[in-house]
Amino acid sequence: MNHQQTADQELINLYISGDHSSIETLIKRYKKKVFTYIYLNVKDRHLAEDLFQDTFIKVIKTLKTGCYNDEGKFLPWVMRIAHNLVIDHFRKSKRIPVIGNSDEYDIFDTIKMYDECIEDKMITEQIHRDVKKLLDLLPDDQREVIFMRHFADMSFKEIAEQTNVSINTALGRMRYALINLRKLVKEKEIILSL
Amino acid sequence: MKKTFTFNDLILLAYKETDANSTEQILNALTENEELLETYFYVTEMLSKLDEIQEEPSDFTINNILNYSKALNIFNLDKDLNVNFEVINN
Repeated sequence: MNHQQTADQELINLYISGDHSSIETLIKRYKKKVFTYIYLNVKDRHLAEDLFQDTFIKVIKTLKTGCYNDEGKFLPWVMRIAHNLVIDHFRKSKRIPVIGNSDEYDIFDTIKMYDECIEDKMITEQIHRDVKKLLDLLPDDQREVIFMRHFADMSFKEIAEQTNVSINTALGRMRYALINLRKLVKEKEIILSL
Repeated sequence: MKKTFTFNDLILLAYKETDANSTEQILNALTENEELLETYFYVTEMLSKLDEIQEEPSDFTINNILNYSKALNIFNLDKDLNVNFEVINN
């Protein structure tokens, strides 16, 4: 059954009633967003794979036990689960994320660029590395709001609730994050376009 | 009196978090205020750079999740997701 155009809530209902393929559609629909969010937080691909798996196992358990009640907001709900698992991980390991610049598998190494020429590919890869480094240079609260708003698709209202600040504070952090990114681009003379 | 718009308003517009009325007002202001338009372009450009950062999990991980889901469908589970062997045996 082709579910590509089916709404999230309908897919959830189908899955709960026994249509296994519906969860596959939901996972494939949101895997990049969820995985990117986790990866940018933990900066370790293997750990990100584990946390991604744990996130969707929890999603499946919740759906199958009839405990899901999120009024159709599937992705923000999944993102909250992912976010909480990331936080749990850091609490358990009692460490903060490190800037990964080792030989490990890198997020930007696998971005698909088949249609581009090799030179463009190299420049694009450099831009991705630069953007990632710039994000790492932001203060924690500013980086967090970018992750939550941009990669986790949370509204500023939801971010405010989750981080116990006002909407204006959350917006202010985003504003400073974008301003600081611009400053860093200038300071480091980074060119963010082909 | 013309309403002035802030960087925060432009962020909200870029993320489609403004209501219809505010959206129209900001869009009108953008056509009249070059500086505001330039700032908006900057905001959207930075956000589009962030958009380029995308990664996906391995097929192995996706398959693990799907296999778990299949297993739940095959076995009869109680609300705590323990296998209910009595029902299966019957």
